[in-house]
Amino acid sequence: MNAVIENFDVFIAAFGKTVLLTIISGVISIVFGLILASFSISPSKFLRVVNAVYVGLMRNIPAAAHLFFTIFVLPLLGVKLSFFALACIGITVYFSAYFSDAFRSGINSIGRGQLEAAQALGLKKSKILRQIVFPQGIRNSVPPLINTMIALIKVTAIAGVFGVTELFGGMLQLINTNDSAVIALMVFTALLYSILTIPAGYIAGIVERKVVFTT
Amino acid sequence: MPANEPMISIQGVEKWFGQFHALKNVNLDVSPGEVVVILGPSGSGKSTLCRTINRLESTSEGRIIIDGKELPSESKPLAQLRAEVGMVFQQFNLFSHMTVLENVMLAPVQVLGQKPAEVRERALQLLERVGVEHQANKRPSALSGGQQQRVAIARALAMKPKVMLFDEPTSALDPEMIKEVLDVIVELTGEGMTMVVVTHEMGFAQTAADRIIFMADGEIVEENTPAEFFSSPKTARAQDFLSKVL
Ligand SMILES: Nc1ncnc2c1ncn2[C@@H]1O[C@H](COP(=O)(O)OP(=O)(O)OP(=O)(O)O)[C@@H](O)[C@H]1O
Ligand SMILES: [Mg+2]
Repeated sequence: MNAVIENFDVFIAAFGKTVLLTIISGVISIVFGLILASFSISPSKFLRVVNAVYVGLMRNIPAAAHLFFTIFVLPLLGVKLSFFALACIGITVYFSAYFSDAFRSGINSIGRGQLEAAQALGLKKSKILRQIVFPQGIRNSVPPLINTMIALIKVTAIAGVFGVTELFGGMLQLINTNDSAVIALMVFTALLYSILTIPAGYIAGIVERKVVFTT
Repeated sequence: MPANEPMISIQGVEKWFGQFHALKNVNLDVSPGEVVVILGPSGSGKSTLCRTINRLESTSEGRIIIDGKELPSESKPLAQLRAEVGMVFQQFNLFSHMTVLENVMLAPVQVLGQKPAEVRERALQLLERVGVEHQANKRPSALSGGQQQRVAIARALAMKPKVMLFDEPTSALDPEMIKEVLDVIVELTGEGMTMVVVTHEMGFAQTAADRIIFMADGEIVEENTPAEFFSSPKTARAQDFLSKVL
């Protein structure tokens, strides 16, 4: 317990870095995910294939391999960035695929009748997308988006193994110097992760009940 | 337009779903202001025919002409033509993320480019006419099935369509709500709206139709006046059908 109290400032700094890593890679992944998902409903077959190949490929490579590649291999190829920035890139490349799928599932959950009603009223394709598909699709995507975000928070811990002093990396360093307090340090770390993930899961549940449309 | 020109003209329409021949050489003219009710057993192609009239279903062959204009296949002129043809679905299909009022206002504003303030006024009048004015600011899911279907009718009417298509508008409703929806449709017949109605409500067909079209196996088997159709149908298929439903 002393080890936790003495190193509280280290924990707070590491926790802040986890939050930052989550927000930066989360926001960029969501934007890329939305772009990829819009490829998947595009009339262009090329764009649909781009989405399918990207999602299929990236999701099937383990997260640790993604981060290993961006943090250790990219610098060998001449990319000069901090471990933190490289970790953001790795997480973004990986999670864009998952966010694309989250948006896609939301869009696919829109009933066919909604689209037919819009067509029957004479709405053009672009207006059907803007007025019906995106508003409903994005709302229906919120629960899978939050669940993907929770997965992302947990994956940031892998960056700790590869030299980023986020929460998990910080804990590893503290364990090195306080090997008698391993359990306390781990429990406190788990607690800090839970502060992020448990409310997110709870919100996902509420949103699912309040916002999602069943048609 | 000469007075005798049909509002809807369906000429030699064929529809294949893969190997399945769903519409077989369908020919049908509907005059302006006429109410045509389509009857027939399940799977006979009633919905398919109804949906080809605004091209929600494409045709394999034949022509469909609405108010002198052939149904186009490119999306932009098609959207323009669809704006003139109202459609009411079995499952209502109200936009679930919008309020009742927004549902009715959407197309006049987005398709016809009318001013929201004016559309709002008219939308509220339409909602009052179908008896759901007190639900204007609710989401469709908060309404009963009968109310939702009346909103769907108001939404279609807001476009001031030349033609209204109804595909089994009361089949998804609890029995006690069927009448409130049929009453709204019957009221429209009195206003000279050209209508094509697919239904299993024989009472409605008898009183509201100008003409009955009886379909079986993708073909129009019999065309008749309601009085004749229900008292002395010409074809054996129709006799058989009526003996089962009446
Ligand atoms: N998209 C489709 N793909 C393949 N077959 C279809 C499709 N839509 C309809 N069919 C078939 O075409 C036939 C006619 O269907 P349709 O829905 O027009 O019948 P209906 O007369 O409206 O019947 P019901 O009274 O049950 O609504 C049916 O046998 C149906 O299975
Ligand atoms: Mg049908």
